[in-house]
Amino acid sequence: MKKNKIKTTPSRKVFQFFNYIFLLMVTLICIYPFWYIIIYTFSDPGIADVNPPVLIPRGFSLKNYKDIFELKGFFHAVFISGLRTVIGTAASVVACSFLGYLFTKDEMPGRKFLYRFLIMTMYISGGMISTYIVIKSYGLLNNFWVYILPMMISAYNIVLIKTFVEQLPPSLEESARLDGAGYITVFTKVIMPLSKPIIATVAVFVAVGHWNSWFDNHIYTRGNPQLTTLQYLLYNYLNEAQRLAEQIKNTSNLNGLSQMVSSISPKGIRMTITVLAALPIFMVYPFMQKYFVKGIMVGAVKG
Amino acid sequence: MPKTARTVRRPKKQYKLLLLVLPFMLIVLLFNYVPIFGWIYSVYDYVPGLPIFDCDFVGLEYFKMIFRDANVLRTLKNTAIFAAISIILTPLPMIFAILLNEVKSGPMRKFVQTFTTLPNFISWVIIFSLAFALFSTDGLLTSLMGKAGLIGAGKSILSSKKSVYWFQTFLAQWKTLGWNSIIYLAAIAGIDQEQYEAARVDGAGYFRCALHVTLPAMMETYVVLFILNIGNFLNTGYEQYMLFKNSVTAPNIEVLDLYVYRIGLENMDYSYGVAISIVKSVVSIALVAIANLAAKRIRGNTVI
Amino acid sequence: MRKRKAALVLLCSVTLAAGLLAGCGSDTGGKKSAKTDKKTDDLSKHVDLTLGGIGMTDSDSIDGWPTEVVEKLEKKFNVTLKEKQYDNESLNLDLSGGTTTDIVMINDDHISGVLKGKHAVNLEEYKDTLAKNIFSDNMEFRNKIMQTYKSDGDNKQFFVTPRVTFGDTTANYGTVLNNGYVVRWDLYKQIGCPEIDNDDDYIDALKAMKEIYPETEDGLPVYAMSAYNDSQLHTYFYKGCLAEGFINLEGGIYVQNAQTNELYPDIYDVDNPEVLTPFWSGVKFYNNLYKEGLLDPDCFITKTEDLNEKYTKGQYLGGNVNWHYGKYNDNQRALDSETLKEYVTLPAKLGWANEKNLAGWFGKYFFVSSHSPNVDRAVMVLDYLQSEEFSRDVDSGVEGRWEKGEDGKPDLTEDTISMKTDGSRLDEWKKAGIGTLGDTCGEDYYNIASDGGRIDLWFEDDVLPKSMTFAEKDMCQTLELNLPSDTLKKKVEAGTSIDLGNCLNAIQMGMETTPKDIVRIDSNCEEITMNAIPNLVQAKTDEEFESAKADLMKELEGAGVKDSVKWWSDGWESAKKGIEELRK
Repeated sequence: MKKNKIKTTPSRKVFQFFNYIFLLMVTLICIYPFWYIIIYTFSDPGIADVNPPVLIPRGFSLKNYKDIFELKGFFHAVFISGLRTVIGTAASVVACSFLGYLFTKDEMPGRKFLYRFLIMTMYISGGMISTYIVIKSYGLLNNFWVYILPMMISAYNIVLIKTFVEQLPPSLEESARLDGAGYITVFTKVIMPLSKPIIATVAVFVAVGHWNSWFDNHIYTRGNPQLTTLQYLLYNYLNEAQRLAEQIKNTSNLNGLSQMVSSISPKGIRMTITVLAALPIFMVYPFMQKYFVKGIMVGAVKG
Repeated sequence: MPKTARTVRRPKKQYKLLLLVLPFMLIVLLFNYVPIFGWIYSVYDYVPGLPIFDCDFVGLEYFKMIFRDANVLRTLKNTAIFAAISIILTPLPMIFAILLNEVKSGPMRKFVQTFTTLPNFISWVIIFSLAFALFSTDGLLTSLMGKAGLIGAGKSILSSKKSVYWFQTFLAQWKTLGWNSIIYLAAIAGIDQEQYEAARVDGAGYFRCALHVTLPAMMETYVVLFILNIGNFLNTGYEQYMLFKNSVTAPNIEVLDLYVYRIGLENMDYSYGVAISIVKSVVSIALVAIANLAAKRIRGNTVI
Repeated sequence: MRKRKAALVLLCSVTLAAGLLAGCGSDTGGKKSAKTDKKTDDLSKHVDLTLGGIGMTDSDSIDGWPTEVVEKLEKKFNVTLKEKQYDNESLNLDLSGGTTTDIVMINDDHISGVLKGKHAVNLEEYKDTLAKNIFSDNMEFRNKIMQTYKSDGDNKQFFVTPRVTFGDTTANYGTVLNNGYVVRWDLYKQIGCPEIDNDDDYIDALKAMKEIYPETEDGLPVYAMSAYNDSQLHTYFYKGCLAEGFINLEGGIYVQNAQTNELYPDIYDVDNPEVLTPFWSGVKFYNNLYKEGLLDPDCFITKTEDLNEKYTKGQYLGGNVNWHYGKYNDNQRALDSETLKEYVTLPAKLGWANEKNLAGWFGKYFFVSSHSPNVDRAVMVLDYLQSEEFSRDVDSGVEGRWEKGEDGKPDLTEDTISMKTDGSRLDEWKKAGIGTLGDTCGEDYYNIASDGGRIDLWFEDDVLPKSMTFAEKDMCQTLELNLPSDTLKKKVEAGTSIDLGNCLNAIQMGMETTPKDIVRIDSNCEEITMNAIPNLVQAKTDEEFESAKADLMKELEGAGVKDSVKWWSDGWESAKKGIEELRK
């Protein structure tokens, strides 16, 4: 493939220079706060409280991590979060991409109606109590599948995929149909391979969504320590201080307050869980990234 | 309806498509539509623990209250301002994606892309902690800002009423810019290389390539997302605003979602909350419908 | 086309109907468990019991669970006990679904829902069988109040409260005070230990202390104190309550005079201008601090946590309470075990101590869920929680952690006392469970148990001096006291301070549930006041302050505060009369 090279004009060089600087600055602003969190977690808790680290850990110590790994139910929570992410992402990606494809088919009876039926779900909600009662009546309370089923069909992701598929050249599908392929075959053999960028993107969105979700844990599976997710563990730590402050506001009873206040876990613990919760995503991320950062993998595959 | 010769031939309906789609629609029905019966809580004075039909029937009382409540008006104004600013800033992820795409070096591109998504994974509680450390009166950035003359002595941006709108927007953009640009990068990744070839043959430089090849590829995605997000005009979420709310910033920072959260939690005004969310849903759907029609007029086909 | 529309309508109505059916079916409300009430004390079957409440902690995250105290309970009643944490949301959900824990603790917000929805078991039916502790003579006043005000019929009692103070209990002030005027002991000593009788004296002392300690050893700026903003107005009215002698009702919009038991609106004080209410006393104090340059400029954005951090760094000289010392005292002692650099608390006008909770703690109501599959067992356990035995176990450890001496009086063992402060025995301490489940005990800490010792043996007079730090001992030496808390004792004896001995805090329980529109008005007023605080605290002159106050009053009137004042005053009058009647 002989490329026509464009002349690199001086103005182009200037642009590239400023572009680099700008992007680097933006990246720096994004990295530093996270770096601060990381070095905080590796600092000795006693020192970090009084003298927070700036560029490198102060009094390098693994105490925070040791505390977390010894936390009751930590590893199990990681397992549960991981399990729901894998199963949930697989289910959701298959369902949403398939639906995204199907909705591009004009020959579907009631397509417009069903599509709008789907999209409306983004803007309406019955409220927490009725949703709870419904989930309960389906027998999904304290049940692992409550993490998977309600989130499986996401209108937003279906719209993204549909938009992408609509832009694929129709000739590809037509030739497959002429060979007698049914919808499912066309989907798996033609559409999916071509839609790798968007499917990868949606997979990342869904996976991160699952990994980060704690609210369904909070509402539907609270009673069950076997189903606690990592993010819910983190949420409890993050909100300890807030909850205690609310209690103080509403009570005229002071006994035991000082014990309660001093039992709030130190900042370091919260930061550590944050790091641990974000880490797996960054380990998996590079594998998905190649699908949507151009130049790493050639985009459209022709013929 | 007589078909003219110019009418596009309507493809023949394939009912087996319905067979494929309906199981999924059933799930949508079960989890998204069945709970809608909860809307009935808005016409009763719901008391937790009492079956809904045993509660007092109040009719449209809560809906009327929405219009009489000065707090709703105030929070709506704040919500509208935040929403308007974020609508104006919607092209930012797209521009960021283009700029990123213009970087020649692959590793550099990967580096920037990966690390700009980091803030998305930091929860707001921690962001507040960090902001407090950096922006409080003795904070690192505050002293820098003071030296640059941007802020008076002994003052902090966290306790400044007038900076609320742009500071919170800044934080929100910082958190989501990298992440939101992913979808546009995916759109760019799907561009056929030959289109660039064709443009170059016509003598286009880098800028014209970006304008005529890259941008249009993202436009479709942009328009669709824009319309979908218009529906979320009133849904700003409450977590960020709850954390940064204090007695100085409160008048400007309290958005509708935060108000609803607060009254639900403190006053146990659950029915009132449901009434407000019904009104919000209606507004959202209306906005999406209008945007959709506008798109039809402008671009010739509806998006939804 | 019409067919499709008809199908649409049909689909929608079917969905709605299905939903309603599902909803009604599951919103169990008044359905009771089908089994007949046996009221048996048969313990042969092992059951699982859960105890849940707003503000309780999940037992899964408590180190050392099941503690020695809990194990004893489990063995005694053949159960496995778990604790569950609720918040308003999850409690509402469980009530809607009828899936609450076996024993539940709620606050006033949920009482009417629980009563109307018949979620609670009538404990009165077990009076002579399984609930002997609940209905003991000492609990009579409490029970009368529960039956009169927190019930839906004659002679029915659904709720019990924790920490009931018996009529003849006398309290002491502990080893150290936990509220009042906080100072840094070393600095206070250096300026000559001036008498601090009121806010003005305090500000003078703070000024003097700042002069000798303008910044910390690390170069951080030092202030007198700050405010904590995550508890709404608490930071202001609580300070004022200590200075003026009031206790606050929930939310602090109304306060009760600790001596006369009269109710006063705390913020909207136009009807009683001669009384300086806690809120205005607190706000004026902060305003004075501001004018003297002693107030932390971050005071409007600081949350409790950030506050504690700054205390740990030594950036504050004063405060109101001893749970805001951060880790400062511990850190200083770790550096030098004989350091004088510690925060200590001196008494304010009101020593928030010697509380007489004749009807138990307000805002914590325990009931047995009528949906529980083990009602009888749950009643037995709830009854045990109310007992003297359990209260003693929780506060002082199970028997073995304390023993009867030769004089027959129970005392903590030396081992137990040393275990408390011994960092290397932390796991053992947690397993002992002293203090866990402290919110559930029926008896108050100071009650004298049947063996002659207090329920909480840590409050025995001979134990109090044992836990003093070096700085506290120095304080006693310098001020010629036996205990740091004697500063309050002296003042009460001299009449310059009061404690809560005469405060009838049970009056609150006699009030009806606040109607929704009053709740809304109160909550709006709270918000409006919060927003007015910066102008008040940062007023540079008295005129500015008064003008800001006048503006606030106008805004409150616009929000309907007068209706609220009327409802509360009337309600208080009848509650006061009713409770005082029951007392006779």
